[in-house]
Amino acid sequence: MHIPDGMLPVEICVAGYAGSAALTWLCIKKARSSSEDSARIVSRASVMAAAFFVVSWVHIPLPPVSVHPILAGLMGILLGWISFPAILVGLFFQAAMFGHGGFTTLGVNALSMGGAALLAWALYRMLRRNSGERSVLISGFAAGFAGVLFAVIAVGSVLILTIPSYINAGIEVSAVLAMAVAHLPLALAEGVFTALVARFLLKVRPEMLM
Amino acid sequence: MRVFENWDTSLKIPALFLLMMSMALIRDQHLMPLLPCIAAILFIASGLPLSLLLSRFRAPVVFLLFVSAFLMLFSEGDTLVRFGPVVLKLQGVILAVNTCVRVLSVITIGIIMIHTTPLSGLSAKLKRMLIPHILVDIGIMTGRYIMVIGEDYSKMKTARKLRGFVPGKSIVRRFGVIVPTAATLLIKGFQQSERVFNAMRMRGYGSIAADEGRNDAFEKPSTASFLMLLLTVALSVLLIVLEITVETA
Amino acid sequence: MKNLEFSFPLQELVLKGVDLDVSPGEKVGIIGPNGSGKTTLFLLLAGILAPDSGFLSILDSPVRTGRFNSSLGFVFQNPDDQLFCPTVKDDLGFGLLNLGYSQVEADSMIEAYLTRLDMSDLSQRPPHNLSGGEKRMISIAGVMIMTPTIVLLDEPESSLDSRARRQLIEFLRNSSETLLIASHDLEFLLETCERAVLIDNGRICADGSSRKIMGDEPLMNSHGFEKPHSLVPHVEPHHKI
Repeated sequence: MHIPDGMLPVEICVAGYAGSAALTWLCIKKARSSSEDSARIVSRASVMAAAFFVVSWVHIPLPPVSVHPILAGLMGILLGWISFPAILVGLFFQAAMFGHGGFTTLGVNALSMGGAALLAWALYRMLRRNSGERSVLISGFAAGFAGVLFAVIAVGSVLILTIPSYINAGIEVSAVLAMAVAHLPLALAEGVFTALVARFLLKVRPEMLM
Repeated sequence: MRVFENWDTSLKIPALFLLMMSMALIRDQHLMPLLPCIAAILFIASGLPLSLLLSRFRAPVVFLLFVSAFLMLFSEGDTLVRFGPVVLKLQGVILAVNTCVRVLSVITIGIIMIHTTPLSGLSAKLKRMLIPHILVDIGIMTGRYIMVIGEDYSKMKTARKLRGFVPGKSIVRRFGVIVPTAATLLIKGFQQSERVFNAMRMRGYGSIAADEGRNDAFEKPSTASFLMLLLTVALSVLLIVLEITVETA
Repeated sequence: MKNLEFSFPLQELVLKGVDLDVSPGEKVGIIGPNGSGKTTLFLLLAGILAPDSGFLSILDSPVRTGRFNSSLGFVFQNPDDQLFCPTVKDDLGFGLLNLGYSQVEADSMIEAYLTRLDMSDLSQRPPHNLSGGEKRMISIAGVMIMTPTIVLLDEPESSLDSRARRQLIEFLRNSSETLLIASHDLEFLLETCERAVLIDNGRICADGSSRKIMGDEPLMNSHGFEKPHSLVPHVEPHHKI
């Protein structure tokens, strides 16, 4: 769900960069204030961004096909504030290595995906009542599911609403909704995937869950 | 040709990025043919293989197909052609063609920007471009560890295959394998990040000497690099001026 | 170190009152079975972990947890844990830039160092394109180029082929730094270290000349080791030592 170069008006790209810069600064400040020093922020963000980059090559079954996960929700619950800079860097590499997304649209894509990760993390924290397995499954599912939907709605809204005005506003809104509905199966699959990974981590390395 | 590879990174990246932004600005259909011409000339000058360009076009082309279909079917305006209930609008077709031309041209410049940038000394050059140091460090190290963890994943898949795993039809079975695979990669990443943190600290990262004591002497870019910067900026400004002129006319 | 004790949270003591003095320029081999506390000892010396009790100092200064000490270098077991940068040259420069050298100064030091190691052709190579032996040498070079006084090496010879192993032995023999080398490869330690310390179950069980300790068969056997082959009396002598 990444917007390629050349799709968006320049002013939106610039606004995207401004927003991403501000949010990156805020997230690193928040990470530092929870006593993470620079070296740990760099090592955690970079190695985990790389790990997530590789995990995104794993195919999630979604009959009759299988799809690459978006992982916004999982990144949020494992990296917390660091998820935003990690996603920003991850998106850069996706554009550089595979042509997914773009460089002029990096700011906008980061706001969409990184914003989705942070919102998913907030939802996870709200829903997780205790360190029991059931609580982790429910909150993990919600984070994975919501992570996909937040990202799709953000990207869809930016795309549709910046298209020149030959298109009726009602149709634009319907298109965004249609995109969200079309991604429901992926959101469900990713919700299940996130819940199961979170449960695995709870058993093996519970300190990884933020 | 090594024109782009010899162009100093700290000048090339801002110049080409500005060019990409100025190309992304172009909306007028009369200026649109300029974009693929500029992209083609620069791509040929870069010496990069065509296969690279085509491989990078795969993902955006799929995206563009959906966007073009949407534009052609749902735009308002004059009917261009009708296939039964399906009506293609003229403005939609023009918009779709312009979008595709612009997107693929801008992507081409991005490919040149990335694939002609040598890795050596990249960190220092990116920091000279006023990108926050912490972000540069995260970026540089992410690139390195994608290779390490990617290799781990590759070995895991091979080990799985050698033990007879075939991704069959059972969703439960497939989740039963991909979940531990993904979780294991993440755990290994987490553990490695701790070791990397220790290794970074042991080599002085974040120390007072690193933050304060540095003498910032570096190799100045060549005259040719500055010339190329000027030419690219001039081209970008020309595109912007043309677009504004046509818009206001 | 004096009377050093350490345990991980909610676990038993890993180190139980360790006393160790190392003189400048000494090369000390640390041997012990898995779980004996070798790596933990190194992490404490490096200030990565804080001891539960006891005293640790390096060059007459107490070790401060979490603080960078430019006189101490640490070569980790897995080279990938400390090859961070896109090219070999950048990786060697990582520590130098952190010490406050300029890029120009660092470049010149790196070129000289790689020439000395006869590895100049690796300068522009990405670490993931290096062989296991090359990665190991570069990870050591990345630490040694910072000219630490003391270097801790955690199983530096693991995964090396015989040629790379020989190269590493010669390199360590010729280095002037104080070295502490943790290893399971007893022949390797015999060739590089004149002194050996045997740790088992969190305590130092023996400390003295490498040949004497490793040649003591009952001692070695009681801690799960075999006497190194080169110390076994031969009918026809065929070892250098």
